[in-house]
Amino acid sequence: MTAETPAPSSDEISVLNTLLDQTQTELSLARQELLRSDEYFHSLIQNSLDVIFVLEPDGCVRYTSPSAERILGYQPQRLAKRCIFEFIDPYDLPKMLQAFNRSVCHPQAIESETFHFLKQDGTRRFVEAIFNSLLENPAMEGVVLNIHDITDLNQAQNALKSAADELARSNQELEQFAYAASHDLQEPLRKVASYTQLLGDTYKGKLDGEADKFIGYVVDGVVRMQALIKDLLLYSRVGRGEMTKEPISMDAVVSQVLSTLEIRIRETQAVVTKDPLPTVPVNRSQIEQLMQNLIGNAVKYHGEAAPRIHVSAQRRGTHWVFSVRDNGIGIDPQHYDRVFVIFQRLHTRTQYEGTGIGLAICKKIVERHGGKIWVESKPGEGSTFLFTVPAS
Amino acid sequence: MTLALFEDFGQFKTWLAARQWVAEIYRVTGQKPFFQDAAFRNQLRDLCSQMLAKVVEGAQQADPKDTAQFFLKAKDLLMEIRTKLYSATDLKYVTEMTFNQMFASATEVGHLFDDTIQYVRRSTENKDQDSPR
Ligand SMILES: Nc1ncnc2c1ncn2[C@@H]1O[C@H](COP(=O)(O)OP(=O)(O)O)[C@@H](O)[C@H]1O
Ligand SMILES: [Mg+2]
Repeated sequence: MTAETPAPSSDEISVLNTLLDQTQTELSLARQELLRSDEYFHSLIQNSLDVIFVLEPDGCVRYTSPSAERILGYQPQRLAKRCIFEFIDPYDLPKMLQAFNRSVCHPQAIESETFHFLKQDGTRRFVEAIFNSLLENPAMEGVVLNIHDITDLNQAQNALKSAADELARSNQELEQFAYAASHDLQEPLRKVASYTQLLGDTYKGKLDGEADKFIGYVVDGVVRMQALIKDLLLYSRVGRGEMTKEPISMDAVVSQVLSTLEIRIRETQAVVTKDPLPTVPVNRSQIEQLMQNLIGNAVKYHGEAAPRIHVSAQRRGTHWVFSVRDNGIGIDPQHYDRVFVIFQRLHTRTQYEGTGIGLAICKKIVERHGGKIWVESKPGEGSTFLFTVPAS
Repeated sequence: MTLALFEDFGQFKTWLAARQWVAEIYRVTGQKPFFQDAAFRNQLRDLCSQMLAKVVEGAQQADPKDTAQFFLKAKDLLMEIRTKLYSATDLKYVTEMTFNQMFASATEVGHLFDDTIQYVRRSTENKDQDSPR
């Protein structure tokens, strides 16, 4: 040491000391920060619901996240350097390899595939795998494979699907049964009807008054049963077989229906008006049934005043919304859904005749055409039945 | 129905040998400079996944005749890959020694395919269930 360099004064030393202290504190703070962020990412991966692998370009496992133990039953170190292909269900290996190949060929792109992963205990988990090739990323130089267990989701979906299939099947069976039963019941019933009628005609006034009354009841019951069976047959026919659609003018349909209902319209002094209606692709006979039921109900369920009925249509997006509005007795909002259920009626037969099948048929027809049907009403003021039909 | 032979498919000797061989192809093609020849590397790997797909499909057939057909196709693909190993050697992507090893094990896997085909064909003639080697 030369004399030119003066020894630091005690003042200078204490300044330097303070500086050193400060630097050390900052350094240790920075280290803590680093540790914390390291822990942060570690626990992020540790607690992930997914298993994260980093694969070598040949499919060997370089890194496995700790979550592998919880989800797949493997301790990460047991997978190190093993080839991931060994852990894929054999039947799914070809498509897993294809996804891996695609991923390697397209760095940075996301490739996904589903397959069964073999767990440590020999069982299988259905997983969604996402491959992300970071081979060209110098910090990674590997393929990141993210495995998400969807076994439960998949099982739930399968269960849902088989329940839906089962429901569709039993619905179809029921429909077939209803069709067969109503079809086969018609013939014997016709016989019962004609013979009781004959009985009534032949013995009227010859037996006692009670007998006449009873015969009357029987005839009544049989007529009612025939009406029910006829409607039931109509109902089950809607769901059967092919349904051909062609462009149908709804103006023409309404005119046709009005002429069919002519007598009832005249009797009730109903006034039916309509806006210009569009042409839509539908099944002619079904759409006629639909309109006949709706206008028929509008004519039937009137109060004191003569029925005033208006038919209109409005384009809404891909669909046409048709409406049949009346000024009749209306429906309580709590019954809006009920009226579309088969055999559900809001009135006794003495109030209004009917079988309770009409609106159920309407619902089926509309749904078969890919539309919806509903009702809006103010009790005492009238109802509007609305349904949609795809415009093309 | 599946043949008794494929009941524990994951432990089926032919499958294990084929899968191991494929892993070996992936290992070889995963090394530089082979890996950098993207087209060639991917062609080989693609053939490998196709070959395993044929084996898997073969094991899932109800009719043993169809099973045999799929294993025949798997064998064709195997031979195609084996032939391509010559070019890999010419390009110095693999050493002579590696080539020899891979060629030999390909031949061995080919024999296992043959055995399976023969076993399956025999099972259509008489219903004896002795396993192939
Ligand atoms: N336009 C309407 N106004 C008031 N109530 C109606 C109207 N249309 C249907 N309803 C109610 O819905 C029920 C079911 O109708 P529907 O299925 O056609 O059977 P039905 O006319 O044979 O009774 C009817 O019993 C009636 O109570
Ligand atoms: Mg009705």
